[in-house]
Parts: sequence; C-alpha cells; structure tokens
Amino acid sequence: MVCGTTLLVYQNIKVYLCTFCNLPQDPEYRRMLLRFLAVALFALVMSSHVAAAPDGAALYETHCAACHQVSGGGIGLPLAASKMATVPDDYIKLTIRHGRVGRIMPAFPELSDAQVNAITAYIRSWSGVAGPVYEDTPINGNPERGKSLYGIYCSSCHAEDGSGEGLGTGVTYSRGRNFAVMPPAITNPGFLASASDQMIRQVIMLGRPGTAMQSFLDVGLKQNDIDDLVSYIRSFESRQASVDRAGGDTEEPAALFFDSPYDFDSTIMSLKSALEGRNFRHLPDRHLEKGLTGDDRINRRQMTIRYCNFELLYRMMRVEPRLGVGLPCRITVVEQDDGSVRLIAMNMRLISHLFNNDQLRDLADEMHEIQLEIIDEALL
Amino acid sequence: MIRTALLRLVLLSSMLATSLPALAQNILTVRSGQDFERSMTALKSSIESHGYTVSHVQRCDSGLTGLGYETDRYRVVFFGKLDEVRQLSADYPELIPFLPLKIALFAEGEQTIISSINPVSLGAIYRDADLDIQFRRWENDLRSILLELQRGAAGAGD
Ligand code: HEC
Ligand code: HEC
Repeated sequence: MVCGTTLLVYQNIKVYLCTFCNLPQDPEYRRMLLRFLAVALFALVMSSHVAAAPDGAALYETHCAACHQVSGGGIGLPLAASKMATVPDDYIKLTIRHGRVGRIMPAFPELSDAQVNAITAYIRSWSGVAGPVYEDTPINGNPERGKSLYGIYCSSCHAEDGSGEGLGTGVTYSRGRNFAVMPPAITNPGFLASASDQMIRQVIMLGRPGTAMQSFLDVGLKQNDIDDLVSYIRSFESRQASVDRAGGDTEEPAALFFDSPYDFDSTIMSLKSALEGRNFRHLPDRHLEKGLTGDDRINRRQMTIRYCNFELLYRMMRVEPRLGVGLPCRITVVEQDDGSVRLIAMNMRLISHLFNNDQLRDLADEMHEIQLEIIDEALL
Repeated sequence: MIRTALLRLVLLSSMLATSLPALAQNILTVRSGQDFERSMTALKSSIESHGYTVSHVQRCDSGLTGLGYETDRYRVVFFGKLDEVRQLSADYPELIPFLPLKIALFAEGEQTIISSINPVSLGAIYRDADLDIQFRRWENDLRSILLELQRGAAGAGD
C-alpha cells in the first residue's frame, strides 16, 4: 500500500517535472535525478510510516511521567505495575481521553488513537499480563442503601461527596515521598466515564494492595452491599455537568485593568503604602524590561511592584506546586502615551482553570479579593 | 493528470504535517533526571540558544521548607526578547502579567520538575489572530526548551 502510493507519486512527479520544469534532456542525467527523487520520496514516506507506529515509552515520558512516577513521587496516583495489571485497557484509554476534570490530570484529546493505544500497551508491558476484560452489564444495586454504607466505610477517606480527601491528590510534589497516597476522587466525571460498574466492583472487593484501599470483602461486606455501593457511586454521574471541561475554554479575562487618578510616581508610592499597611513582604520593584537590555535603554514607564503573602502563597503551592509558573503576586504600573496611568494585574481566577485544579479555586478567590482591596486602597 | 499529481503531493505533505503531535495542555511540565543545579545551568543555556535573554532568576524557596514544603530548591527564570516585550506590552497591555516569559523549576529528590504556562492556552481568552501566531511561536520554543531539558537526563545517566 505504502509502496503503491510511492510508485504512483513517483510516476506523477516524473510527468510533472518533465512537462513543466524543462528537465535536462540528457537521459542519463534525468534518470539520476529521478532516482534521487524516488529515494528522497521513499525516505519521506518511510519516516511518516514510522511516525504511524508511535513509541509508547517515549509518549509516556513526554505526556505522563512528569506527574506519574511508576515508583511513587510525582503527582497523582502512582501507576504501579501490579495495580495497572488489574485495570482493563479501556479504563486506561478513557482516562487518557477524559483526564480528571478539576483534579489536575488534563484530558488528552489531541493524541491519536494509535498514540493512546501505544501508551496503554507500554503501561501493560510493565506487568506483562493482559488486562482484565469486564462485561459492560450495569450493576443494579440500591443506591440509597449504598449511600449509608458509603458514609460508614468510605467517606472518611474519599470525602462525603466522593471528591477525594485533603489538599492535593495522590502523592504531590510537595508531600514527603514516604507519605501514603491520598485517596482519589471516585465521583469525578473523568473516573466515572472511564471505569465500568464491574471494574468499580472489583476495586471495592479486592482493594488496591499496598495502599490504604483495602479489600472490603475482608472487612466483611457482602456482594450485595458492594453492588449497592457501586450504584451509589454511579449515581453521581447524572448529577454532574460535563466530563470534558478539563482544559476547555473559559470566559475569564486573563488580566485586570484599573485606571489611576494619580501620576506614575504617585501611583507607585500609593500602591506600596497600601501593601505595607497589610504586612506584605514587599520585594524590590522591577522595570518590566529590566535585564533584557542595558539599564539606560529600558522603558522606565512600566514598573512591576512585587509583593508576597507567603502564608497564602504556600497554601496554594501545597495544592499546586507548579504555581510559580504564574508568579501571581505582581501588579504593573504603566504610564501610557497620553500620560494616563493604569494598573495591570493577572486575573487570579484564571489560575484554577489553567491548572485544572478545583482545590485552587477558593484560594485563588481569596487572593483575588486581597488584590482588589490593595488596589482599591491604592487608588482611593 | 498533473493536477492530481500535485494534489497527491499536497495530500502527502499534509499527512506528514498532521502526523506531528499538536497538543495544547495548559501547563507544560517535564521531569529531568538531572539534579537541580545541572538543570538550572542547562535551562539557562537552552533559553539563550533559543534566542532569548534571561532577565532575572527569582528564588522562591526561602521559607518553603519551614512551611512543610518538600522541596528546598525552587526558582522562577524570567526571559524574553527586548523587541518582543516592548512591542507586545505596548500593543497588548493585557499580556503584561505574562511578560517576560517564565519557567519554574524545582527539585524533587535527585530529579527536577520544569514547568511553564502554555501561551496557547491564553489564546482561547484573547481570540486574536496575530496573538495566536505569537502564542504558537512561544509554545514551540517552550516545548523545545523543555524537551531539551527532559532529554538532557538521558545523557546524564543514573
Ligand atoms: C499534570 C499531572 C498529570 C498528567 C500529565 C497525567 N496525569 Fe494521570 N492522573 C493525575 C492525577 C492527579 C490523577 C488522580 C486524580 C485524583 O486523585 O482524583 C491521575 C490518575 C490517573 C489514572 C488512574 C489511576 C488509578 O489508580 O485508577 C491513570 C490510569 C492515569 N492517570 C494515567 C495517565 C496517563 C497514561 C497519562 C499520560 C498520557 C497521565 N495520566 C498524565 C495527574 C496527571
Ligand atoms: C483508609 C482510606 C480508604 C478507605 C476507607 C476507602 N478507600 Fe478507596 N481508595 C483509597 C486510596 C488511597 C485509593 C488509591 C489507591 C491507589 O490506586 O494507589 C483508593 C482507591 C479507590 C478506588 C479506585 C479509584 C481510582 O481512581 O482508581 C475506588 C473505586 C475506591 N477506592 C472506592 C472505595 C469505596 C467504595 C470505599 C468504601 C467501601 C473505599 N474506597 C474506602 C483509600 C481508601
């Protein structure tokens, strides 16, 4: 098939080149040139052919390894070989497709099916055993009964609403490597869209050996109790909006603007005294262009005022250690051509959206409020 | 005949183009097998070899460990091109909070996590064709820089 295409294209190029480009008439030279073209084309087609059989290990390295360390560490649940041997291929594939909305793991809609299959095969290769295949027959337990069992046996770890427990998820960068894995969100739309009823039943029956998730058959639950729990967990699906919010659009603006009634220097002074009044640590001011060129050449009408409320910042970094990429505690004072002065700040509310992390939302709102108060006071 | 030949060529080249990954995660993150100090050095030289100037390195770790944070090394590296920063901050002041560009890196044991906002994720907010081109160019550079750091690990050996 590939060879067929190559040949066809080769034939066509020959005609094309000969007709239009005034190819040299010397047949020897022509043959050489065409042979060269054919080889080049073959190499081209082969390279696209190679790309069509993606390398699972490399893809895992690029897209997953920053978060999922096979042996713990990182962020999210460790994908231990023994555990991954107990989940079906479909669960892995759908998890890659949907991610976990609001729980850091992004969706990967851009990966091709072949790439998703390659990553799954690579994860499979760790244990060398084929994954289980479950029937898709739904389990029809009693969700009301499941709810009360859930309150007794599960909510202490997975939270009342199944959204997971504590700050962060799985093992986060910011936790000790020896800490236990934090329980995941089992009512998350991404999880529910990926796990079949039968798989959830297996997890509850057998637990996840080596983690806090024990076998509830061992605890003494009966098969029908477990079915009731499955139906209760499944019932969250109908109450939720959408699986695919992870990484989607937002209506939030990225930056906030405030007009200052003062001139450039007085605005800066006023902003600094508003910060001091709040016991913020105030870092040295920086011109926006500082360091990009000699000090004598920088635009002196753009000044970034940097401050820090460490306590709040660290609370945020516990839930999202990568927060530094945004470095949110900065307000830039800009004098425009007409002499008017504006303050420009990052919109904190964008942050929980960018990181796909619901736990950041309240903290970001808190930071947003503080920022507004400071600016209000400065512009009074 | 010739038309179809051309069409086939176009088709073939577009097939090649689309077989390259086009991903848009909001936050780009890689893990390097190199320790923090070596990653820091590698990051600076990679940023510079991509034509940017490192303008500033901000330490964010003072007090981190005191608050129970499990890394004692955390830096944010600022970098940009003077002309770009000057032009964009004038034409699009809403970009100022994101200028110059930033990459955060922090230690996780003997390894290093290196991360940056994917500028393309801001495109959905600004919806401006010229900015889109700019965001894509930055994304390419950032991906290439991060990839170099991730690959640097392979050469380092452990
Ligand atoms: C930005 C971090 C991040 C990236 C990148 C990421 N994940 Fe995840 N992943 C998570 C988090 C966090 C969870 C757990 C969510 C929770 O706690 O509710 C998770 C959960 C999972 C699970 C469920 C594990 C279980 O025990 O049921 C699988 C499977 C998974 N991820 C596979 C992948 C694969 C494959 C990739 C690469 C294509 C990937 N992840 C990329 C953060 C990430
Ligand atoms: C002592 C804490 C604890 C209790 C109690 C507990 N779990 Fe878990 N559970 C966990 C942890 C930790 C994991 C993640 C383990 C891993 O994969 O590394 C988990 C994983 C799961 C998963 C798989 C989710 C996923 O994303 O892969 C399901 C389903 C689950 N638990 C259901 C339950 C149910 C139902 C109950 C009550 C009958 C329960 N758990 C009780 C700690 C707990």
